[in-house]
Amino acid sequence: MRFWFITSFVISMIGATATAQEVRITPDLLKFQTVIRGETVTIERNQDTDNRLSGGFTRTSRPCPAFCIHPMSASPGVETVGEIEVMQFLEAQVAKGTGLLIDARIPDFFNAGTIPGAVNVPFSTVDADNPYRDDIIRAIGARQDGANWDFTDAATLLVFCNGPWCDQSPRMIRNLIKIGYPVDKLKYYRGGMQNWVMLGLSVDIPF
Amino acid sequence: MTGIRKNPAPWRALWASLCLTLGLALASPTLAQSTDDDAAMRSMTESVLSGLGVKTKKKKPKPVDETAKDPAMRSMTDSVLAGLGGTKTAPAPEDEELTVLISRALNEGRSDDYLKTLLDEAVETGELTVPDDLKVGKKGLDTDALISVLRSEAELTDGGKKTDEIMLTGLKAARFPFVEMELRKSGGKHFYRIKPDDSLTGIALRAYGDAAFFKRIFEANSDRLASPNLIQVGQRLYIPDVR
Repeated sequence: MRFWFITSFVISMIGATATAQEVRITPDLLKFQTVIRGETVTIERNQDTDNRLSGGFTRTSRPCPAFCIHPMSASPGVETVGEIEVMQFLEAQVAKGTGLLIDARIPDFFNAGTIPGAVNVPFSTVDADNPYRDDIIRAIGARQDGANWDFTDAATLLVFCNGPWCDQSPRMIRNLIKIGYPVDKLKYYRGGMQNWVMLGLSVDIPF
Repeated sequence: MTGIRKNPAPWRALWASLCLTLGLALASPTLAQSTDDDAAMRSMTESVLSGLGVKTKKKKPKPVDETAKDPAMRSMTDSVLAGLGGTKTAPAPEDEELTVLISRALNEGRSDDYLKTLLDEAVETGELTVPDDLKVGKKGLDTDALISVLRSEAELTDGGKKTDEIMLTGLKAARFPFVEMELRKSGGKHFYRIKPDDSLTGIALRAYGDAAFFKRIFEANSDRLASPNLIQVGQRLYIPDVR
């Protein structure tokens, strides 16, 4: 009698854990959704507990220089954030039109897969070398007053690129600061695509 | 229908070109829709027209026309602006610059009639001014030939990555679509010797009345041509008959 009791208890426990085994984002959040410019943006995690990465993002040792490890801070005063903050930003700022989630990589990478809700502003386009850079700065809400910029109505930018070894988003942040972009309107998702996919989070293929 | 056309009736050329280019446009993977392609195509179009001295009237005044400066950056910036603007649907045509309209029309595989309307309208309203040495006939611009070459070169130009020069020489050839070609006959076949400023699309335009036939010439000469873009002055090309 006791044997059966224990066995059925064990079996029911296994059963219980199997059905309860979800891959949540936070204990309270299984699926994140918000509406950006009329489109629903959904972020959730890959539910296959055996899932593994393959391809480029499994590499551990890209050559440095070029792909060096970046410090936690991109620039003094610029907040570094993680995945949860990216989602909060999408809801609190991007959905309201006061912020932009920026993928600073070149278009080929963006088109291969990006964070849902992100727009592509390749780092090179805000470089002083781009003769059309000012068009972009204006498009994100800055106003030009002669030689000076007024960033009062400019969007808050959360910038990311390929990962902690990627230089493109820190570079973009530095270039923006150079023309006077307020540091409290700049944020750095240091983890980038590498950490995003490492957590099994949704990837958006733009076209 | 056999033989080399020397003076094909314009309507026939237009019809053939319409069928062919529509078919090509539908089949061509290079005409996939994406903002990048749009922007690259626009950049190519702008470079071409500006290189020819064809001036387009800008709708909004811009401080300096820098399109010739850095086409790659222009196209990348345009993509970014499109993404930031969040426009997935095309804005009203009245607000659009001619080159944007043309390049989008090319990318969307619009008919020749559509392109012709755009170009003719532009010439009418004076939005498109054609330099004297490019004028053909009363209209001022041989829009049929221009469209024919634009389409074919759009196929060859892999998203605007190839050089503007190719486009430029193609359009130069488009000025003289029905000039008699110097063809040598040898063993029942026609041969043409390549001159400076020639392009395969231009030669096809003159031989067949439609630049899209550049493929036929390329196929017939694949043993001596590495790519449709690489032809050399003095080279002899076999011009196969049109069937």
